[in-house]
Amino acid sequence: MPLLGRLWILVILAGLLAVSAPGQQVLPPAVAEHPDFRRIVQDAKARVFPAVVYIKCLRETHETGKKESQQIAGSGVIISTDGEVLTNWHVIDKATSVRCLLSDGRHAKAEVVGSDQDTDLALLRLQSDENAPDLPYARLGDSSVLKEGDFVMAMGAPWGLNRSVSIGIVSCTRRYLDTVSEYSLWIQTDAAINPGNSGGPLVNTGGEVVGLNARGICFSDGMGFAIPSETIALLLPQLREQGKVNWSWTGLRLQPLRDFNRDMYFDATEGLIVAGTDPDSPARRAGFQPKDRIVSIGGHAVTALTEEDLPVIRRWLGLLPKGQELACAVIRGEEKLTVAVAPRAKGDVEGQEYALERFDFAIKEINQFDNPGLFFHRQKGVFVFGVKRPGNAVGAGLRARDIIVKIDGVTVETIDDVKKVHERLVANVDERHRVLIVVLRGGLMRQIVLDFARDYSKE
Amino acid sequence: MYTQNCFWQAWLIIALIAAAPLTMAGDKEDKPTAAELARLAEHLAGSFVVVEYTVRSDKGETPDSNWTRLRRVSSGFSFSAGFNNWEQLIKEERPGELAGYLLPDNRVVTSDPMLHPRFVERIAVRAGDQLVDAEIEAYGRDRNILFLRLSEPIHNGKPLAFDTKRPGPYRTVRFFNDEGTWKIAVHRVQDEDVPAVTITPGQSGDASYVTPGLYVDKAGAPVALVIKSKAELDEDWRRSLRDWPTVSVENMSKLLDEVERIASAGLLRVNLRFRSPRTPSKSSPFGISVSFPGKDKSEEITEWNGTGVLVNDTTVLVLANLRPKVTGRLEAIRVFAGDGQPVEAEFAGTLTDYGAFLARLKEPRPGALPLETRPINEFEDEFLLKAQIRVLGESRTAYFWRDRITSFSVGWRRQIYPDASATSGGDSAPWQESQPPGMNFLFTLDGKLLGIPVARREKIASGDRWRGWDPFGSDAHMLAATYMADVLAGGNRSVDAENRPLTEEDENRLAWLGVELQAMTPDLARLNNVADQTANGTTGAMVTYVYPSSPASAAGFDQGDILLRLHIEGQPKPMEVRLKDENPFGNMMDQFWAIAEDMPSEFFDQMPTPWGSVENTLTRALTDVGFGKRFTAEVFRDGEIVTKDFVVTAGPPHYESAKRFKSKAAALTVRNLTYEVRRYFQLKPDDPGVIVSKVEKGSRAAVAGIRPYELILSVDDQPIHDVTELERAIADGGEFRLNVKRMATSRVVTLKVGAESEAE
Repeated sequence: MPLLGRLWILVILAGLLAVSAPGQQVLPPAVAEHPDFRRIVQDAKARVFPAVVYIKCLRETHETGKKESQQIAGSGVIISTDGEVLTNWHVIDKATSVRCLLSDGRHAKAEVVGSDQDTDLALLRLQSDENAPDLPYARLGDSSVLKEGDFVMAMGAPWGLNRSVSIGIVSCTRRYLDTVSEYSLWIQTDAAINPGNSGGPLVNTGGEVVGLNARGICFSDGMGFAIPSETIALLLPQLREQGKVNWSWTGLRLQPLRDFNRDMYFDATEGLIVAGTDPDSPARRAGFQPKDRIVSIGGHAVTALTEEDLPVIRRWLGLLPKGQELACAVIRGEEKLTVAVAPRAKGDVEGQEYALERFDFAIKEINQFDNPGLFFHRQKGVFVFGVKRPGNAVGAGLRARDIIVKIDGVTVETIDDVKKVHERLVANVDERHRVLIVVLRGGLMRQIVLDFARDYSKE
Repeated sequence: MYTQNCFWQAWLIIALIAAAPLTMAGDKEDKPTAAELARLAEHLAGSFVVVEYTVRSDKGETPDSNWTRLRRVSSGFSFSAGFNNWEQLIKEERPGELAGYLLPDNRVVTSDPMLHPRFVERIAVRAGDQLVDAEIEAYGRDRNILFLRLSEPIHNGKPLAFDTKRPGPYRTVRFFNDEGTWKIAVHRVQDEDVPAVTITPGQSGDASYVTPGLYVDKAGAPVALVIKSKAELDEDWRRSLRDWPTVSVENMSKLLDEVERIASAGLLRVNLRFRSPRTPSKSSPFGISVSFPGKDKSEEITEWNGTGVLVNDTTVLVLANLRPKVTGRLEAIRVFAGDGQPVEAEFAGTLTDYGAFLARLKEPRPGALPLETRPINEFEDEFLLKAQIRVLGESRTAYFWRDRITSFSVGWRRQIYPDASATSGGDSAPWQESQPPGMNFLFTLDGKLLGIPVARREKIASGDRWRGWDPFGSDAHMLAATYMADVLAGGNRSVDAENRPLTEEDENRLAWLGVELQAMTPDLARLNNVADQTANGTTGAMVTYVYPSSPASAAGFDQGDILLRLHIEGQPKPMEVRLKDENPFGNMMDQFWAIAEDMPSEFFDQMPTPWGSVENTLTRALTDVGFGKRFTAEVFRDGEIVTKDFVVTAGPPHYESAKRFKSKAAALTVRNLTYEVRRYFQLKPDDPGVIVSKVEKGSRAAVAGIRPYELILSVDDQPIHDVTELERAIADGGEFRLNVKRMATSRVVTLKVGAESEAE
């Protein structure tokens, strides 16, 4: 079991690719009477296929310690006449330009309207030509009526081969992938999904988009995962209007009553368990304790029997109004008590990045959600995100994940602090070409002398 | 004139005339011309032969090779150049050549290469194109010679018929190999009646020295052979060969039998057994060693087999150079006498200055070896007996033959060391899998132990530690037994009280200063203006953290101080602080746990500790120095050197030495939180918790998601402060709710545990 349960660890972000898959709708009785299956598939395909786009982005990355451009390919689907395109967040993450190729051969630039890292969703808008003919678009269907065994089609550009369709069935309608998103259950399908399918639609036999293909599993066939259209529909307004999903956050870590994976079972049929609370979170300040059983939040009964029940509850919590106190009924041992917690905005889930060209390393802001281990040591600050090889930083012994405490005597809290020192020193490199950097590594201060006399960019 | 085949003519004959101006009146008449000397050399050519040793390897071993020794050995014969070691000769398929002098009755006198017969394929004597087999007849007792008997006469040979009465002036003749060609050199002797004299002021038994060589008169008639460079003042250096004391081959075999008998009773196989290391070093999944740099895996030995010397009926000197950390785990000493029956022994004390310890036999054994107490340099050139003992596990092989000491050197505390090799064969960097060396013991002809192969225990340990450690003694020197006799007479004064077996709890005890350190680098040293104090950043370390309530904090140490060196009581030279501090896992722990979530539990054992070991070359060296010793630390602070006085003290328990509880029922091991672990997790001294150090693969604990290095804070809401409390809490079994914490996050884990008493 543990091995199987862990398999999705191998799930790759189908980041460089787009996925699409058709879903089969509940078959109307008429179909059963006229089982021309080929016709059904053709019809369904015909309704979505023209709306599938092939996306190519240029993204900026600092992981190698310098500012680098990468080309990313994926898929998307047009969902409105004014050129709204749904795709994955990981397709357009850090993109500096987005180009789309429509199935009829037209191409257009697109702007990012909104995105959400947690659910891996992004909304683009094609910069359309006023005189161009109307755009084809696909309708969103209802993923909640999908059943295992329903036929679905994946559409997109696997390995960059655009205008591809594959067909399969829904393997599981409620797949829980622990570390991938806290708010999502996934539709699992055996329709072939490959890198490049990311962001492409999963289409049912009614020709509706029931999911957005997002990921597969390395070295595994017939295991693709799509974001259900139900989630998309719920978050689309926020993406459209605010450019992001403004999640509310309590810092509660939840555990179901029946945790088969960890072989833990709580003697209750109602509520859910507090596994712990995030540091410096509303929940911790509210006084939640590990092992508390929450039976209701703000008057709503909550129950998570199994881990599949958790995403919906977390999502519900994440969409509650901020700053408003919620009375939670909690059972702690024999005791019944009420704990009041007010969610607050979750804020960014990832810090900004910046490359220090002459020093040959890139820095990133410490983010509680992205780098909890570094946040533990320093709540506000920047760390070494990437080290360029060969380069001055790597020669000085600087390592990825070193937290920068001081540089040239200046205490560092923001990227800007480092950036200014970098600019000043590089401007005066002829006078001095060594800088003392104090870093925190494993909780211990270290001094590092970085000699930046050499200009690797010229080599 | 010369042909290749003509032996006598093939020898290039040269004659040398002493260049020194003559000062003695009597010498004025003795002015030979070069031509006269060349004629003389030509005349003597028929008296010189080349002794060829064809050597072979035996059991993968070749004879010990020591070029300078070979050179000394041939004193009086001239060194036969052309090879540096015997092994080379085997590879080059040629014999080793030594000069020899032809004597009447088909005998030859030559220098003694001291080869064990097992390496000798053939001894032959070459004269011109004639090659004659030879065998050893006798050995010089006090001279570096042996006599050979030829199997057939040498044609055209001119045996040397010595007549010591022949008057001077004399010539010395040398027969030597000059880059492959045998040559003869003739020197005029300035005044043979006035030998050179060397004395040691204030001592009796002063000696006179005569240049070794073959002495002939003006006409080339042999007068004397001088081999030994020393003679009594009143002794005539022209002493006849017939009067030289020898050991015959028959006598030698009796002597060897005797030394074998002595050795089998007095040089015993010793088997040491060690407790398993409490915290063995780990290696990461990528094969990177994650033990502290400089930690030596050979320190984790659990068995040692070697040799011990029975010095009296109950005391064995075990020639094991054990570091304190290894001795700490010593559990059992078994001594095997000749009959193969083991005798138990107790540890009785590690020698402070030598790589050996004393063990007390539980029942007395006969056959203790008497130690020769005469100074070893009185045995120069003497015929000695040698036992070479190699212990490989349970087997003990011994070889016995002759040896001589041909030179000496001065060593530690003016001790005189012989040039005899203490070990033979073996790998230069011994490892548990490699071939340990054979240990050589020297005996006098009357059966006393003269030389013991034992390492000297170096005092300075820091920084040198990663040169590796050799428990098998290939770093041993041949120590004169008289020094060991003094040590044994010294009783407790010779013993290092800190190097002794310890309890398992104390096994990982470690001295501490209470600091975390970062190694210097040249750049760092220069930026901190300590480049000249730290040999350009190759020594010294920067204080990166000071533990509260530690000696360092009491002394006022602060972050940024640079620790330069320690002056330790009784150490001849200050200990430079030198360490390698790379802990590649320090900032990866949270990522590591993220992987661990999905990592098969088989890999748990290979997870390195994220906080880095508090054991480093400095703390290890201080521990080896011994608790209670005083030292002064030199610290560089604000541009000045500050000194602080300390006493080596044992640190509080650290992760490796922390009290553990291994629960079979729960299939996990926990340890008390120690100071460095608390620092890493930012816990206060009184915060509750124990740390998980091992999770058995596939166990309930592993399934429940408990991972190494997580903290268990409470069990069923009861805070757990130490492993005893945890042990008590789960002793009766049942289902427990554990509050488990990582860096910043905690969660609840339910664990079903059987009663501890019922666990297998």
